[in-house]
Amino acid sequence: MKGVFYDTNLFSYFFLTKDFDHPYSPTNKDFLPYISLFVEEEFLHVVLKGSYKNWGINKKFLDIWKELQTFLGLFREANTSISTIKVVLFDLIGILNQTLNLELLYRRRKMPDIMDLLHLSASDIVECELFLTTDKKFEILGSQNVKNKLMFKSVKKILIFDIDNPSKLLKEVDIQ
Amino acid sequence: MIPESFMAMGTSVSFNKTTRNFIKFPSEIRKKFDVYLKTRVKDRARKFSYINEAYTNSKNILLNFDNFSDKIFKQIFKPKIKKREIKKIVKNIQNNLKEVSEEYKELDIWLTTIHESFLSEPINPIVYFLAKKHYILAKIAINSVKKLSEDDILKIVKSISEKSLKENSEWLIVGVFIGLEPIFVSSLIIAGGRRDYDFISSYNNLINRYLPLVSRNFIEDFLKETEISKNIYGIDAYHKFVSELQVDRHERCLL
Repeated sequence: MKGVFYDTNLFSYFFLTKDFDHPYSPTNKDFLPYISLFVEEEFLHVVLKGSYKNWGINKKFLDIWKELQTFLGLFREANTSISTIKVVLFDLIGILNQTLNLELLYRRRKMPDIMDLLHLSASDIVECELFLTTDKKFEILGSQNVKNKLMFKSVKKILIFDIDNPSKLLKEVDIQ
Repeated sequence: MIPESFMAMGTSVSFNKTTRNFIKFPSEIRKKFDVYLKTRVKDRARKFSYINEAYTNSKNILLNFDNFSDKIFKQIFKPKIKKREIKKIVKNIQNNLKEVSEEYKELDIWLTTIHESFLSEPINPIVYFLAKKHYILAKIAINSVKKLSEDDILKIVKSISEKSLKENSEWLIVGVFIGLEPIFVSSLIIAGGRRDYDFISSYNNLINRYLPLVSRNFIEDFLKETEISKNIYGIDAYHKFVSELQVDRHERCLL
């Protein structure tokens, strides 16, 4: 089974809409879906701010938390130590810094968010082949000079979905 | 092969004489919360040592789960079973399953009591979530074995060979893990009370390993059991979530 990693936006998309007809739905038996603690943390953070009440959800935090936990039964949690993630993430940032003007790109918001890079590192550690995201800026990793330097152990493709309508696949970025 | 491994649940009761006592545990542990107040001194001491023993045993099993499950399933599923023994095994499995599923009815009530009170009681929510997940696993497994008739079980027991055991060893371990549910969940509740984070995190690792495996293979049962597909918030909720997450990340950058 192919390991597939979901970033926070896509994870929340499937949690909130239960779009199980989607080809990359976590209910698809061909894949083994993964998330990490950081994805869970980001999701919980937004829910904990209590703003979901403005989304038309009339529930207590506890109810949503419980639903989230049962939904997580479809996923495997990337079981990595913080120190391993740190090593891989810093390696990634180091390589990107070598090939690109990282600071400038980050300031101009042309680089993937650091949290997304963290998710990507986690997905590589747990040997996922695919990384699903809505962050268009991941295209930058597909350019030849960056790709040549990147040393991913297992992630082969980054699939970028439309952020407004995640049922639409925008681009497949090969990174190996 | 998959329901076959779940039959370890039925047989796990007989792998060790003392386990028969352990299986009765949920109701005993349920009383633990008011055991100090309601029972007499003698009774309390006996109960406490009983609970303590189960807790230490299950912690040992949990921390060395790979070795343990290996030993257990070799004991449960012996290749080349004699014809005479087969009928006995089938009867055992069916009887034990009856007992186990009655325990689960009780556990269901027990879990709902926790869920209503777990924030006022000092129970770690993760303990509740883990117990619930293990419970769902067990329910799926029991239902899948219950569908089998006596002839089906007979066929499965006859077809066990060394090769099939090796090929499906992971599923057999899942069966053993699910079979240990009543003991594990009871001890998990105690671990929560004692703040035994070693216990809880090793438990979390095992659930993380086996729950996706079962939910993947029994996806319809899993969705039905958890009623996941009922709670749809819609695409608008998603859009609002995304914009809030962006604001949130931006705020973090400014910090």
